Amino acid sequence: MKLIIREYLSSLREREELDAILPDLLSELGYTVYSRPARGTVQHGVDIAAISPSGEEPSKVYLFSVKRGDLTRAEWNNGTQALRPSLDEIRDAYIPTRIPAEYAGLNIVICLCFGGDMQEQVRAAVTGYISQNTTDRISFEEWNGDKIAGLLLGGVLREEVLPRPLRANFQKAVALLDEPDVAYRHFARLAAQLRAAAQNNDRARVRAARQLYLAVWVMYVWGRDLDNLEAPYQASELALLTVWELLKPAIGSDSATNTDLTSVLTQLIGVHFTIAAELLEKIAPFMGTRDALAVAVQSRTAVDVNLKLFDLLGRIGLVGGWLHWMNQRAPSESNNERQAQLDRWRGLALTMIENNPALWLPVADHETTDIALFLLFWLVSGAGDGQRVAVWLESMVDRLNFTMRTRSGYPSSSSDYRDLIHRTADRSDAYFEEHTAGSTLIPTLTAWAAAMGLTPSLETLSKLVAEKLGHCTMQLWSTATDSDANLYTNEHNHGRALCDLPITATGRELVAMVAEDCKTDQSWSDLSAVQAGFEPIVLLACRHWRVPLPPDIYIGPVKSAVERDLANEEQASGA
Amino acid sequence: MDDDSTPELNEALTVEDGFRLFADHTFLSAIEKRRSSEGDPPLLTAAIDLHNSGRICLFDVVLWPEWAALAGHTFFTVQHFLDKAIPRLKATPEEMMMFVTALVAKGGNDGFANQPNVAFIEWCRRDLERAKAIVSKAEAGHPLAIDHQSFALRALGDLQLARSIVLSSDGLRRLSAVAGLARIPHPNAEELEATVAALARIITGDADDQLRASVVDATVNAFASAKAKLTDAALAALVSALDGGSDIAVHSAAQSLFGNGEILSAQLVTILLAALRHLNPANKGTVNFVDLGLADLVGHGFGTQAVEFLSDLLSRPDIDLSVGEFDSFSHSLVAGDRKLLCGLTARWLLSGVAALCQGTQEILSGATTGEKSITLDLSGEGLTDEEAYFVGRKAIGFFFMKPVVAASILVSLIGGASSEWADAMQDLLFEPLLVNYGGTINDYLLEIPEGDPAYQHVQHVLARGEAYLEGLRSVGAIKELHPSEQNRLLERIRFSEQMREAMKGARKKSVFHGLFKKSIMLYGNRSVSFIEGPDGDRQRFEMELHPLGVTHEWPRIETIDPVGLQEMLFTLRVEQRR
Repeated sequence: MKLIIREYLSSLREREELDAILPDLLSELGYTVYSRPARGTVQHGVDIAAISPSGEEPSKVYLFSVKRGDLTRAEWNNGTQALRPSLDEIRDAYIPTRIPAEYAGLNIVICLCFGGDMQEQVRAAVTGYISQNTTDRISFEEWNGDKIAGLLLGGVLREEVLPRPLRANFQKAVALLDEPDVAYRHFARLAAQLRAAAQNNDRARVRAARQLYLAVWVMYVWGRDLDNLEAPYQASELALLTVWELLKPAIGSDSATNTDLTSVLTQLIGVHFTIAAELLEKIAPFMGTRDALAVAVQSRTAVDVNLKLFDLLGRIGLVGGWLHWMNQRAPSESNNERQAQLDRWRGLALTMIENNPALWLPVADHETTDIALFLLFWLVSGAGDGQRVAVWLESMVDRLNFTMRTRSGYPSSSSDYRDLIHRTADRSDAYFEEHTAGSTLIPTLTAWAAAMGLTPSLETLSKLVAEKLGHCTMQLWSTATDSDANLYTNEHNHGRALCDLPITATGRELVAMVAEDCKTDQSWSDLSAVQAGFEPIVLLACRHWRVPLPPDIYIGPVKSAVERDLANEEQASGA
Repeated sequence: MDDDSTPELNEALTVEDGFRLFADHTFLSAIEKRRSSEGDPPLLTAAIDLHNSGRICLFDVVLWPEWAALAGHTFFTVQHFLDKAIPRLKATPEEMMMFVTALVAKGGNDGFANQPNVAFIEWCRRDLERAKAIVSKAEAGHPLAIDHQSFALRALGDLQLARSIVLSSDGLRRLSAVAGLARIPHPNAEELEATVAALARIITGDADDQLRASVVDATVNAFASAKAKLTDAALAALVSALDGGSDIAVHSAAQSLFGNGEILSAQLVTILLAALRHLNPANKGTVNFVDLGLADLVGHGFGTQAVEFLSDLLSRPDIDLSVGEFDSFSHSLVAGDRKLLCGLTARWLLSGVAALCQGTQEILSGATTGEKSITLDLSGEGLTDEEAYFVGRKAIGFFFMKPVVAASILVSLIGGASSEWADAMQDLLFEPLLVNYGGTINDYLLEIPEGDPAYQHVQHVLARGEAYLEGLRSVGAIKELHPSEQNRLLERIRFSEQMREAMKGARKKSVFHGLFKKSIMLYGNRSVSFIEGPDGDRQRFEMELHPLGVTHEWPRIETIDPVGLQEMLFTLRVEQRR
C-alpha cells in the first residue's frame, strides 16, 4: 500500500497536484489549516500554513513550501520557483509579516515538502542551509514522499478507517487500471462500502469523501502514467455521485460537515474535470481525421465503435455542461476564456460527428442520453453552428427511417451488450417488435427537430411512426419523488416514464405535452443537486447510470423555440 | 441366403449356383454384390442360360418383393445387369415389351431410366422379325406395341416405312412413328428432304401440342444425326410446329438448342430462341435445358444472341427467374470470350434492371483467374460519359464484395471519359472502394501500368488512399476507446459461435456432403485407414492433410459505419438514370 502511495506522490506532475491533497491530509491528522494554496496571491514562499494538532504541546506553526517530484539541485536553488529562494522568502517576509496575530508567539516549523526523494548531491547544501538557519524559534522538517505516504497511511487511509478489505479493493482498482471495467468494479465496491460505513456519522462522511477524493487522485496519477484514464474517469464520476450522496444530508446547514464536504466536492469536481479534459484533449487531435477514432476503438464489431463514439460525445456534452456551470457560478474575467472553451469543444464535437458517421445513428436507444447531453451542451454554449447540428439531426432521422424500414441496423431498445452484438438478419415482425418495443430516441429527435424547425425530418418521423412503429411506446423519462434518493446511487429503479407521446408532423404536440408535464411535476426542481445549483451532477448521474436526460432541463428553451416558430408562421400567414 | 454362401466376384459360378440364387430370391442381391464384374461375368451367363433353357423366367424378378425394395444405386446396378442380358434373351415381343416397360417405369425420372429401351432396340435388331411383329401389332392398335413402335422402327432403320406410318396414322401411333423417324440415321439430303416434307404435312392447324413438340424434336434430330444444317423447308416446318408456344413445344425447342452446336445456324437459333420466349419459369426441366442450350450458344459463336435472349427474359416482370438458374450459361460466359462477358456486364448494369444487375453479380460470383479476381474492361462498350458513370456506380453497388471487378470496370471507364466525369469516377474508386479495401484494391491499382489511360487518375487515388490510411495510423492506441475486456470476451464467444454455424452450413452445402463417410481427426496431421479391396485384401491408405482456406478482405466501413455502407449500397443498387 505504501508503495502505491509513494509512487503516486512521486508521479505528481505539478506542484498544485501535491497541494491538492496536503490540506486534507493535515486536517485529517488534526492540524488546523489556516492558509490553503491559492493562485495569484502573494504567499511569500508558503503554500500551506497550519497549526499543529491540539494534543501536541507546545503548539507550533507549520509552514509548508511544496515542490513536485524529487528535490534536485535545480529544484533547490535554480530560479525563483526553487525551494531555497522560497525558504528565504518565508524567513524574510512571511514570518515577520504574515503569521496571524493569534499565532505570533508560537514556534515555527518550516517544512520542505516534495513528493519524491531528496537527491544525494543536494543533501549537503540543504543540511547546511538548515543548520545555518535553525534558531530557537525556527526549525526545519523534511517532508518527502516517504514521510507523506506514511502520514497518509496513518491518517486518512489508516486501517481503522480503511479496513483491509477496502484497501484490497483500492489496491486492485489501482493495479488493474489497464482493465478499466475491472478497476472500476473494485472502485465501485470501495465507494459503496465507504458510503455505507459513513452514513450515520458526520465525521465519517467527511473522511469517506476525502478517502474517495484521494483514491481518485491516486488512480488518476497512476492512470496517467499508464496512458489510460478510462478507469480514473469513471471512478471520478462515481466518486462525485457518492460524495454528493454523503453531502446531501448536510446541505443547507451551517455545520463544519457541510463546509468540509462541499470543499471535498468542489475539489473532486476539479479533479474530475481535469481527468475529463485531459482524456478529451488526448483524443481531440484526431476528431477531424476521417474514421480515425472509429478505427482507434480497435474492434471488429460495429457495436463497439458505435457505443464508444456516442459515449465520447456524451462526455464532451458533460464537459460542456461543467464549463457552462462554472461560468454561471463564478462569473469572472475567465468567462471569456471559458466561452472560448465551450465554442472549441462544440466545434470539435461537431467535427468528430462529421468525420465519424457511426455517430449518425445509435445502435441502442440508451445512447439517446449522449445525444441529449450534446444537444444540451450545444444549447448552453450559445447554439452556434446550428446548421451543422441540423444536418446531423437530419442525417440521424434519415438513417433511422432507412434502418427501420429495411429492418436492419436500427437502434435497439435493449441495452444489454449481448443483445446488441447478437443482432441477426432476422426481419420478422416478432424480432423487429421485440427490438423496437420502446423509444426515447424518436421523441427526443422530435422535440429538438421541432425546436430547430426541421419540418422534413419531423414529417419523416411522424410517417415512420404511423406506418411502421405502431407497436413502439414513444417515451421520455423524467424524475419523480423517489429520484433524489436514487439518482446518484442508482440503488433502485426510480423516476417516471412519459408514455405514448404523440409524434406528429410539427412536433408541437409532443413539446407542449412534455412541457406541461414538467411544469406540473416538481420532482426535478426538488432534486437536491438542482436546488443546490449543482445541475451538472444530475447530468453526470444520467450519463453514468445510463438513464435518459430528463426533458425538464431542456424543454423550456425547446418550447420557446417552437412557440417562436409558430408565432412567425401565424404572422406570415396573417400577412 | 446368407451373404457368405454367395460365390465371390468372378469366382467360377455354375449354372446350378445361379439357379439356387434365383430359387431363393437372392439373385438380385448377388448382382449387387458382384457389381464390379466386367465383360461377361459368370452370373450373367448363368442367368441367360437358365432363362433361355426355360429353367427360370428372368422376367419374373419384377414380380418379386425384393424387386420392389430396390432403390437408387442398387436398382441401377441391377438394371445395368439386365440391360446386358436383354439382347440375348429368348422371349416373345409381348414378354420383352412388358419386361422393358417394368424396368423403365422402375427407373422413374432418372436420366438412366431409359437405358433398357436401348437394350430393347438391340434385342429387336438381333432378329428383325421381332421388330416387324411389333410394328404390325401397333398397326393393329396394340397399346404396348404402339409404345414400342419407335424402337422397332429404329431397329429396322426403314425411313420409308417410318414416314409412311407418320403420314398414314394418327394419335399415339403417329407420335411413336415421328419419334422413331427422328432417330433413324438419314444417309443423304434427299432422305432428309423427304422426312421434312412428311413432318411438314402433318403440322396442320389442328395439330396438337404433343405432335408439334415431336415434330420439332424429330426435325432437329434428323439433321443433327446427319450433321447437316437445317434447310429452309426444315426451318419452315420448325416455325409451323412451334407456332402456339405450348409448354411442351417450348420444352422441345429448349432440348433442341442443347447438344446440337454443330448444326446451329443463325436462323435456327433465332427460331428456337423466339419459341423460348414463351418459357414457363415453373417448368424447371425446360429452364434447365434452356440454360444448357444457352451455354452451347456461347460455345458455338452465338453468345450475343444468348445474352440478348436472357436479357429480355430476365427483364420481364412476369418471369420469376434469376441468373442463378442459368449456371451453365454463366460458367460458359466466364470461361469463354471475355468480350462477351464485358458486353453483358455493360448492358445489364446500364439497364438498371435489378434482376439483370443482380445477374451480373451472380455470374461473376465465383469467377477468379488463378488466385486473382477476374477483371473487366468496359472501355470498348461505347458508353457515353454519363452512361459510364452510371455503370461505374452500379458496378460498385453490385460488385462491392468483389471489389477488384468493380475497380477494374471503373479504371477501364475512367480512361475514356472526359475530365469532369473521370474525376467523378476517380472519387468512386477512392470511396467506397479503396477506403474499404485498403489491401485488395491498393494491390490492384498498383499494378495499373504507366501506359494505361487511367494511370494518372489511379496515382491520384493511391495518394488519397495513402493519406487516408496515414490518418488512421496517426491516431495510434487510445486505450480509453478500447472495448472492455468483458465485452471483448462476449464478442469473441459470439464470433466463434457464428463461425461454427457458418462451418456447419458450409458442410451441409458441400457437394461431398452425404457422399462420403465423415471422419473427424482429433489429433495429428495425417490419417491412416484401411480399405478392403475387391480381392478381399486389406489395403493401407495414408493421407497427409494440408491446410485449405480462403481469405477475404472485410470492408473497413462494415465495422466503422455499417448503416452508412448499407444505405450507400442500397442507393447504388436501386438508383436509375435520369
